[in-house]
Amino acid sequence: MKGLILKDIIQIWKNYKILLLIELILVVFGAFSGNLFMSFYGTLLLGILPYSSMTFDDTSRWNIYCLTMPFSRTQIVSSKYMLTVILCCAAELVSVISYIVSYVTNHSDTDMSIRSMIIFPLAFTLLFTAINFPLIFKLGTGKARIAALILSGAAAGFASTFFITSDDPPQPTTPPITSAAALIAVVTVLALFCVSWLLSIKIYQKKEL
Amino acid sequence: MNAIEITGLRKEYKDFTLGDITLSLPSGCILGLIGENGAGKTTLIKSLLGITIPTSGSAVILGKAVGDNTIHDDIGVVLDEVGMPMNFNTSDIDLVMKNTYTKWSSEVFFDYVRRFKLPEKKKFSEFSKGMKMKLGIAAALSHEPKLLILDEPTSGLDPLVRDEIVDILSEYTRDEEHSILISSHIVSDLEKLCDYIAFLHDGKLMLFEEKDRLLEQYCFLTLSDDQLEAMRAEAIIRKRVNKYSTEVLADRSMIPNGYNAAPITIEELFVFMAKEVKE
Repeated sequence: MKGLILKDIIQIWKNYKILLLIELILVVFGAFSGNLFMSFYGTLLLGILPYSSMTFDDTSRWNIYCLTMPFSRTQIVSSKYMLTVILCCAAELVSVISYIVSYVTNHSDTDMSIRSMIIFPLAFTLLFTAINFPLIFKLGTGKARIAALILSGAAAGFASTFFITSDDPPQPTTPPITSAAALIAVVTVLALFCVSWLLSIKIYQKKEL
Repeated sequence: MNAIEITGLRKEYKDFTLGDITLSLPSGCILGLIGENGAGKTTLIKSLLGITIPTSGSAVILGKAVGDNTIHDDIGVVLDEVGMPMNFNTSDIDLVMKNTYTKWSSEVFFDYVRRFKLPEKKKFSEFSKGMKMKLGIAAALSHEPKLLILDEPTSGLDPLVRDEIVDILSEYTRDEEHSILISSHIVSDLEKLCDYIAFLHDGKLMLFEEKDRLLEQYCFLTLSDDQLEAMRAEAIIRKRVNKYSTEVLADRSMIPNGYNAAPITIEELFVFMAKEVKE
């Protein structure tokens, strides 16, 4: 499976290195200027790159070629989910570092902003993956794109509702209900991500290519 | 040991059925899968590689059932479209394959890259069709495969590149443990290379035999009506009736003395058998 993940990382780097470097510059700039939006945006960006790697696989016919290699179908599916997790972790790490830099240089700190920065984009990307990957494994990237547009809209609607609720005017202390809601949302998204993973494996076992 | 054993393999689609295929390829031999476009060659190869799932029947490759992904470490595969990532160069491919195959040799891979005069820094998407195919073959040969499975490797290539590929494959089979399953509708390429020939037509296995035996066994005859009547019915494999004569594909061992039998090529044999089946 190492070969599969390595191939995706090289492919993403080769296709998006300029974009990723610009994003990194903006994150650094944002951290020092106190505007953390780009860190937040970076998680979203990195988290959805595995989706685009699947489009490349379809176009180049790698999706068929890799089935001739010593990988099981479970490994092929799992490599995409693991790539998502790896990229999300990398983005989260950058977010945390930029938050710390911002805190040290600008003393900007609210419990809400760290939640918005770390939890919301992570939840959104995992939810995006959880919804889209089974569709791609079932329908292929072409048909799945249409379905994904519809479902992503729905997911974004859910996520923005959560985000707006969490970004209500700051309060001196975070109400316990909000923390609990955030926790429930994260646990739900993680559970959905795991269910999606298993569902994709099941779908891909029977997939005809 | 047989490199490939296929037993009653059948694959049903809405508008096409492949089956029931039964054949075996002894280790150290080359099997050419011949058939027109849409005959089922790619479906059969995909079924052997686990890319499609057969409706019924079974296949064993190098002693392991299809579906056991560990066999892929010993199989080199080149499909009609070489599925390398578009923006990869040869070093990227080497890095990925090194982390994929347990017996991958970068040295062997780059030897082939240099021998095939492939550009090392160029992106795969900028390669010509012949270069892509050669790179696919280089990758397929660089992890000590015991079996090569090639789907239309010479299709769409110019005669020089095709000849070069045939040479490479001949060189690979100098090792007695190495076997090849190769499909093509360019029969002349397979005629040069193969020990066994399988004809697929409309999803059915029309014929499976050793090439030399086919060439010995079958012959062409052009007969008058009287000569045709004098022939034993079982000697006639296929016939095509023309205005003044009848062309016959016959079993050489059963034709009467004095008949002027002409040798047949594999291509002629396939075309005659396939066309007459249609008629």
